[in-house]
Amino acid sequence: MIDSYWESVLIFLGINTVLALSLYLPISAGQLSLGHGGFMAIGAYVSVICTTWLGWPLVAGLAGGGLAAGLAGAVVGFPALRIKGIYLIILTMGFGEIVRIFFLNFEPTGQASGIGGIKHLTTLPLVTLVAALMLLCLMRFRDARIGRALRAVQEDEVAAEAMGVDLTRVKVGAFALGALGAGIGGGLYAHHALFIDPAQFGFFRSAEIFLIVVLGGLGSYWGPVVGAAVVTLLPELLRFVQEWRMTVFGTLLILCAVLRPAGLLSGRRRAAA
Amino acid sequence: MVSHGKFARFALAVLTLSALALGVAGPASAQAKIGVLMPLSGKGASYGAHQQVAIKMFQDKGGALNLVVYDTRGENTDAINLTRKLIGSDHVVAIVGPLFSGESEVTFPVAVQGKTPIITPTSAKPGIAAANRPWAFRNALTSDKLDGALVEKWLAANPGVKKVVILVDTKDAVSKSDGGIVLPAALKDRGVTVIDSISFQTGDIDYSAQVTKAKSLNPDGLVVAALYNEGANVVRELRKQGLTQPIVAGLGIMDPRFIELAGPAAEGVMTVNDFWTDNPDPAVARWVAEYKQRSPTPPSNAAALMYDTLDIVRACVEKSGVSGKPDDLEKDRERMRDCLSRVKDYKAPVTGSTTFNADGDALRQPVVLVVRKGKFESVR
Amino acid sequence: MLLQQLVNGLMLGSTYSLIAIGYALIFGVLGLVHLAHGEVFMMGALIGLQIVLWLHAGPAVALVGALLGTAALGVLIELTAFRPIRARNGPIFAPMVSTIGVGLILQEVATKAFGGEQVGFPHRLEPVTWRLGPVTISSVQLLILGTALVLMLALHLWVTRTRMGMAMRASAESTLTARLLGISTDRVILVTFAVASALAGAAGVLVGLSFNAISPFMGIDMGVKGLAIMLLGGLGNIYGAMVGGLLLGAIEVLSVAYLASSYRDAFVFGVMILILLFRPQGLFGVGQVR
Repeated sequence: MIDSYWESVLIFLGINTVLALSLYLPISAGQLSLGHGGFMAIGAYVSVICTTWLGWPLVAGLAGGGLAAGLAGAVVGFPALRIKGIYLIILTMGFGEIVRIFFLNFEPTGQASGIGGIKHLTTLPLVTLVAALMLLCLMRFRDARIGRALRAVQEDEVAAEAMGVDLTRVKVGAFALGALGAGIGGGLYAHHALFIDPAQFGFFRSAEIFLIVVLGGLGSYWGPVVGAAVVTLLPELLRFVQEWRMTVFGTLLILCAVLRPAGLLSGRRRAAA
Repeated sequence: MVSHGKFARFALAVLTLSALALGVAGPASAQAKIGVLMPLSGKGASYGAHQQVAIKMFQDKGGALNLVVYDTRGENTDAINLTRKLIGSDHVVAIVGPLFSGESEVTFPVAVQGKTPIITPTSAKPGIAAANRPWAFRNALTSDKLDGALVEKWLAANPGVKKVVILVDTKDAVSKSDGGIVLPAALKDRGVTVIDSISFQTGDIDYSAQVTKAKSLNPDGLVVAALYNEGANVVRELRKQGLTQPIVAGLGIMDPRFIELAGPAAEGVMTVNDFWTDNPDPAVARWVAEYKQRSPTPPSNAAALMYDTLDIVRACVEKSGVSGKPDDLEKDRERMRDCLSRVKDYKAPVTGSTTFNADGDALRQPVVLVVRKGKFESVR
Repeated sequence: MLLQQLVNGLMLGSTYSLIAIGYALIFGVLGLVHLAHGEVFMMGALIGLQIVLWLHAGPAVALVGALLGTAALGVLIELTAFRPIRARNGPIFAPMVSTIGVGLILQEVATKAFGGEQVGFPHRLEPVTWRLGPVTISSVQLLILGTALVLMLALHLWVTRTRMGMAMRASAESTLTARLLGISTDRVILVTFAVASALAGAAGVLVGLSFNAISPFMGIDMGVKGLAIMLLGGLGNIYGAMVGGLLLGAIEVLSVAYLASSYRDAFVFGVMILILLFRPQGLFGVGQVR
């Protein structure tokens, strides 16, 4: 039906969508995170440990990876409460790097040599399902009390708190859930690429996911989906300008920022941090 | 199907010419497609550029192979997608590449699943071909086959060395295993103690701290396990801070640019490999001379190995009765696989007599080299 | 060994300072993070190298050439990638996305022009090494430290004594007030970019001369560190950036010397995180965290 090449491209697209949706959550609570690669790494490694060493099925592995990442997210989420804007970006960036360096030195998971021989368990239907579920959750979320609390926090924190929104719960919760999503994304990635090493989850990865989310815009939860599609498919479609691919991509980014600064799907405008 | 524009046209030209010339191999086998994966942009682009020159040289010498070339950008994601494309859409009978060990790690299982032989000309990380038998092969030598001879000759030339310090790149898997496992074992086997192992990372630009530390430990000899960039910088810093001990380096530094970057500091550094540009052997010298006419920079390992790998693949295409017909695709791939696993003492044009062992790894005669007056020389 | 390591750290740190100052300048005047600043640094190194190769010139000429070249580059970036966005008054990530694009383009242009792997300055520019007791210093290291100090001093004088410099400080305090006072903010911004980029370019040449490891990707690591230093020193505070750079250089070098190098970056970030948690305005920042 779909040929093997496009299947793989679409699986990566699905994984990027999952990652982007998971980052969308904390960012829409005003927490700019450039450390999502770190949570992805935790999810990837833990899920591989579950499936390869413990012999669990993939779903259990994903759950394991997600939970581990979510826990890390909660831990990082608390200090993140007191920090805003550019400082938070750097905090999360530092966290992401520390995770990567940890795995670079951690012997049981191979250090720089990484882990190979992972079973190919990720399938296109599975990835699509996970992405769709996340999207569904976000949609329901939006109208539930928690979602509205989130939007209130996004618009004006002080007012939200005055109205009784428990800032701590909302912000830490968003951070932890975002990390959980990234962990699941990491697990899906590991079982498709069949080999992971710390280099896969460095600053570039975090920046890429961040880029996807802001490219798509914060106005709607479809933003991350559009962003993921642009960032994943464009390099493939640009193969005919193989030699200058990055230049074209970079120029497109600049154009996007100039012409649609609030993202491709701009809805509401974010107040400056 | 998107082939790299230039190569599609070139391959077509070669195809037409060979069909017209009523070549030795039946015109049908010229239709069998061979996939090539290399980084033409992004990480490793300069290695890719070298390999492109080698490919062109190969085709100009009448190597009638129908090549489908894709750019992996040095990225694992692209490598995976493109391998699937080569197998599923382009219907190649074999794949040459990819360049990096990380890429090989992710593409080899895909090739195994797609039952297509894949042979990397350059990946030196231990164990990757072995884990993906029978379809994966590796034409590059790994440190475990080379370091014994290297350490032997180094200690023979420097008998006073009893304790050493190892400076190792822990971010590069090949250097890490070389400096962390293989070299120390070879040294210990010959009664040399490793006082300490000091680490740095690929891409570092400042090594003053590591070298100062090494200096304070007062070793008799220094061991460097790194790629050519970092290795050159380390060696320069060592000499700059006044250390005069003899230096032995793992195969990762093997590249003409090592000498260029390290300058006078490279003098006396000993290492090991199967290809070096100043090899006086007439066949190699001719090849290097011709390469230099086509490219401003001297050839690296990547170019030499690409050339030889293409040659081995061509030999297999011709000899194993690959038909190139779409119905025979599965059979053709098996024929290629079997032919490659039977390669024994094959006279590769640049790197010499090659054999593939049961792990799919190449076996060749290693040559221990030392830098003298700005050039690599073999050590007797 | 400690003394030598401190010297190493000082040398490394002075190049970090030059880059961090650039970040601080741009953040101070514009309130935004220029994520391609590391790439401007890289271009400085490459421009310097080209000048040396084409004109067979010495390091001084390379330095001046790189200063001018990157200043021009900085102006170009401001005009094409930032000014149009400012006009639209979008959210803060828009300029960040734009700078990522700029960074990608610069990396690719550099790769095409100079090859993807490292190149080095010709060896006739090899430094002379001197031994002062237990410490070894090379002429290039002194050059770096000296140049960095001179540039920082020059910047300080410029910012406090000249009209344009003071206009820059005014704009950093409050764009609105500055405009009310008749300062052409557009012109100030252009000058800011030029100066910041020139400093980065100078740092690039100095690093290239000293470590001989110029590649299109050398800017990434430096860029991240420069950001961290700006944070350490207090956002937008150029004196904080100066001291912060030296401090970070020392921390890095000492952590390599006494811990394992593979933890070096983790250590650096760990320190940064601690500072963020306990003194978020940085070592020299004053007042509230924005």
